Amino acid sequence: MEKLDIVGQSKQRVDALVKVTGQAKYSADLRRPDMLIAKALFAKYPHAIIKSIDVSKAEKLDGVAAVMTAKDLPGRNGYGILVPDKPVIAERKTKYEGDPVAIVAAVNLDTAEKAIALIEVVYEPLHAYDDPREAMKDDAVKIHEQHPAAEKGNILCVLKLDRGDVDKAFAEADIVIENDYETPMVDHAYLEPDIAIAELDSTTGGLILTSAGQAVYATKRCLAPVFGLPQSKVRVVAPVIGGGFGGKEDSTLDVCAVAGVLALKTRRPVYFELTRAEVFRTTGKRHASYIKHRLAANRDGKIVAIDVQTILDKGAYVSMGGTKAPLHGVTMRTLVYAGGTYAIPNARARAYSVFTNHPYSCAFRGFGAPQVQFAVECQIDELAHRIGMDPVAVRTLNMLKDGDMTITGQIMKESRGLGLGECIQKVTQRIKWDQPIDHGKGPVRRGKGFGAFIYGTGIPLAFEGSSAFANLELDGTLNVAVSSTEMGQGIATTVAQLAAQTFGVKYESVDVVFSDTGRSPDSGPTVGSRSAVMVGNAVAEACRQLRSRLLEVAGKQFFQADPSTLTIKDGLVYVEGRPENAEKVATIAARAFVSQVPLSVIGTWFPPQPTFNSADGQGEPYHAYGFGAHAVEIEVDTETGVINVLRSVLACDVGKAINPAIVEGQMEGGAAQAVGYGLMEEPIMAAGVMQNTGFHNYMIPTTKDLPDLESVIVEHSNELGPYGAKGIGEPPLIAGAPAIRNAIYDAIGVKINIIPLTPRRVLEAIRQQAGQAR
Amino acid sequence: MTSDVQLATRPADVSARDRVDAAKNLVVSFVLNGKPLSVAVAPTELLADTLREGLGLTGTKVACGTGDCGTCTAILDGEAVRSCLMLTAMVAGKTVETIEGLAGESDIHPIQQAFIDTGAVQCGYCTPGMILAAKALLDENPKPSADDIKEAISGNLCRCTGYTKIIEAIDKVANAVA
Amino acid sequence: MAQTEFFRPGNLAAALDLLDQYREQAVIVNGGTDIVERIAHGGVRRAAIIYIHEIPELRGIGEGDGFVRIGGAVTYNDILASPLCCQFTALEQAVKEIGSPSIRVRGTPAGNLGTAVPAGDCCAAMMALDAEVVAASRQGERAIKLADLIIDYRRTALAANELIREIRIPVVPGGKTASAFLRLTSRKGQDIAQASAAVRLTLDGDVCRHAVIAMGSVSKVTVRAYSLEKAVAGKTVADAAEEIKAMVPAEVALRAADNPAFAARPTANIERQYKESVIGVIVARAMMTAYGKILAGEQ
Repeated sequence: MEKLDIVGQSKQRVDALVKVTGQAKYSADLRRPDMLIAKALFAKYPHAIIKSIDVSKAEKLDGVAAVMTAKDLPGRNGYGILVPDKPVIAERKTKYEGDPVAIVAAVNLDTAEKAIALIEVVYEPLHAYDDPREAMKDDAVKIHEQHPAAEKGNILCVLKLDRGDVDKAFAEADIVIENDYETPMVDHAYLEPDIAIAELDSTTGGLILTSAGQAVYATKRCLAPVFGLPQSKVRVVAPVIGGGFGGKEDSTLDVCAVAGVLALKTRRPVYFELTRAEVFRTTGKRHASYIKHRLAANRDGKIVAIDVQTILDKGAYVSMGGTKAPLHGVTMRTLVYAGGTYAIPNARARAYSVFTNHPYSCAFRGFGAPQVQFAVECQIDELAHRIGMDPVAVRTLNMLKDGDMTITGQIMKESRGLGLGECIQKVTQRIKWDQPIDHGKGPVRRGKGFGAFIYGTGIPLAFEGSSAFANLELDGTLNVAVSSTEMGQGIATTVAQLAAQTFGVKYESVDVVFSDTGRSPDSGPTVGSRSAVMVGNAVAEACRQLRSRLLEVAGKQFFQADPSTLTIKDGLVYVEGRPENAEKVATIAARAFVSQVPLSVIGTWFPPQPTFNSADGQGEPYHAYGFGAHAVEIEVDTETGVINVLRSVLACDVGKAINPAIVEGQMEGGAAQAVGYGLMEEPIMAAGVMQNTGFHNYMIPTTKDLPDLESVIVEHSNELGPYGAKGIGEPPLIAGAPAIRNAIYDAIGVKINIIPLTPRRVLEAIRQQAGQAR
Repeated sequence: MTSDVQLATRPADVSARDRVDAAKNLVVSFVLNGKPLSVAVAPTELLADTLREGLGLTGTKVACGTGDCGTCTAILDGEAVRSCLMLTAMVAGKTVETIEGLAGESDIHPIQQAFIDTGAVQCGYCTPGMILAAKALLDENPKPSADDIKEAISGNLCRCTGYTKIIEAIDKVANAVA
Repeated sequence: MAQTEFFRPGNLAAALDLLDQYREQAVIVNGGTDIVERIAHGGVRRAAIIYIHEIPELRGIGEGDGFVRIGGAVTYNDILASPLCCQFTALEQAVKEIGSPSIRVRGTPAGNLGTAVPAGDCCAAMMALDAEVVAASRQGERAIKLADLIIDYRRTALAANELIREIRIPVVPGGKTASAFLRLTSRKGQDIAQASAAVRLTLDGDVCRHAVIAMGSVSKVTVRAYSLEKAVAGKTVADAAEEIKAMVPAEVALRAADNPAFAARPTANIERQYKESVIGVIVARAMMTAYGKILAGEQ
């Protein structure tokens, strides 16, 4: 096998220097001549009938260039990644706090804000739904009077998974564990607020949208009808992005739509930035979930069946929530992962996606997996305690091994990488799982907890796949173009390493252009932990083609040798084993150029086509899965409910770490978000109104809330991944929250099935249990 | 009034993104990244806005505008402050450092290098503020403990890294063998 | 309204002149960590911004007449660097965790008192330490006890033409007296108190002779817990701490009748229950810390 000297190395990130020097230009740092500033008047009531809107005073204000309401729009008043159900400007009804009612463009921000304050709207408020369990009742007011995809009332969709004979298995099982779990909405809390700049494209007569978005092609497709333009006349560019985590797949549409229609109306560039409070109130969130989880097992610890009902808080619009076939979205993931990373022969799962008056629930790191796997990992722990078995031993006993079948009926193969066993072993070793912990005697007690997870690489939809562009320059450097966005996860660096390794030039000789529909083919959205694998394979394919074309020329015109005997390394071409007689890539490229050999290549890669039947939940949705194990050690203050995370050890099977430092970065960041998810993050909603809309009351972890986050990389190669890689973006978040919850049980014997485990919730549970004991 | 603040007579350029729709009738003189300068501002203008809009130094980021995230950190007379909680008028006569002032002619600052080397940079939005908070710490306390480092950047939020590599980078500079 | 003017008086007299001239039309900016945001974003619009942070007379820390005197523009960081101030453990502990380092560089105890929010950590510490402020105006000076200074949520007894020239903390002979401050937050870094307590304890042998207890974030203003002070007097510290742990002091005021603004919050009920559950624990722990300090021979 070829020796890897670029892939597998922690190469310096391509974007590091500009970021540490402050030279990196984010959307907020860009200027356009004659630029107008946009503001939106967002709904005063999350659920209301709009009786009238009077914009006349705003229009008369000096410096206002345009005021628009729904009737002034140039195209379709609806967009969405899966279903075009979100209006650019609400017309008859508001469905959540983030619906714009009117929008303004003015010469500066102050004027735009003054204009917004002059708009008069009369509303008739309606009951606002916070709880999907209430909204799904037959007598609930329909939030969408007519929805293109909803199945019934406020129920957007019900997806089902059925495997084996669940009722029989439950009837015959030794042990049944049944619990209700709740997980919160969560804000992505990316530091860079949402921003779009829209300007007319003087060449095509269309629009150029510059915005921090995770899916430039999807943005173009979703919004072209809004502008009344053909897709070919909309160009979408994402500069470097200050964090996305799934949220900027959708939120970019919100800001681009507003800026775009104002630019078309005023014929001037328009800048639209959300304030932090607006980001909190109006952009998407993680789906909150309400889960009833039943698990049947035998006394020996073997799980025989699960029966799971998940109700998802959809918020006001479909976003990435998913519909019935074929666009299953997040809802489908709650079925696929309802049994966690375990081999379970009998399974029934039902997932309800229900509209409420909350911000639309969208993609967020883990995409449905953190919700149900929180439940599963708590259930497994309870099983272990019930039968007096070690929680890790129960997991090892049940985990998916080579040849085992998942609850969707997919056979697991070691050839695609099954590293869970090794992850568990490495984590337990490092945290000394087998050594008893001193729980302590005073009010502060200690405990250890564990969680494991599974997560599929990519999007389980029929279109999954990528295209990428590679161009060999005549000086021997290489340009690669992908439509993926660089939001901190390191795709530009990863792609450069893959290209350099595959083609045979130095890492420094590769430059990567990213996220511009005008400069790159469609690599797909930057979501689903897919890019290193899907886009990486497409880039590698392009580089392989370029390489073989170059070797062909080298063999014929320089070495008089069979191309298969030649190699390219560090920008030099030579007969394998004879580097002393080398020609520069540049020399051969120049010859190829005058020999009518194409030096521009589009590489493509498609995984085996994903399948999933939404009637029974069966299929092979992913070609490969990532795995991991997470252990924590915590302290509980039993008098205040405060939790302190003392240690966090996370191991992930990533197939192949193309850049280990970047992989560790993903793992550390995921572990930190897991602590936030488990302990503190929770939008407080009251009748659809978010109460905590700043970083001072919507809490994310600071340095003082986190221990040193320990990461262990495990590599079980995926035969279809580039150099064996699997996805790593999302998985690290999944098992931290249940590990913390399980550690609390270990410390004080109190079982809490709702996250976040805020001091208040923990103290309440402690006192409740003490009260029952009395 | 002291002499370094006075009424200006010339109208200032108004950038479209300036929050303040008021006359920039105040000239404030201070030393920015080693160079003395005077800038016309509105009395209620924030230092963050003057840096970004007035002077084009967009390395200073604004992620919350309420003093809760630390991305707008600047160094004022050697101490890390939030430029979104300072009126520009308040820095008259003082020295201000921003991320743009850290690198030398040929070399970047050791803290910047350490952030690159340890992989402490992801999305980069917190990075300038983090680096400046680290610089203020190390200038004052060249050998900080791990807890000192955690404390010094405890007001700088990062959503990508879990802080682990950022702390490692700062520690690496502090404990580098001279 | 006319354009706002920014003033940077070079000495106290000049500041007081301006204040006298503009009164309600002026806003005082000290460290700025609270008020600047509201000025810049339009929440506070006044004709005059009077910037007092660099007035030399307000920057000193000294001792005299049985008081430690802290100037009105002294920052939190100045406090932490001052052994004179740090002899009051409650003050040191309160200041140490306020905001974040870049807030403590600029923010001031005087500003904390002047802002008069219930979560003001300095307010609780200063109240337990029996501090008073010296309010200065062009007409002269007056001393105001902390309990008289803070009269309502974000409201003080300061007149429109007055500013806090200094804060005075009485020095109590060491040996039998010590203080401590403790707060409970939702997050460990950069957060405001859910509940806080400052205690100044004076011992008589092993028995509490006298305890001054102040509580933050459990009422619309910082309050003295007289009920607890009474409850602990004459008891051993260990017994007293155990007893008050489970108590909800009568001064906790989070219900609609005494705290309508708090009670109007959608989450008031659950917040109230939690605050009531922990305030006794916080006070007891602060008292134990102060006790430990006395035993260790510190003040």
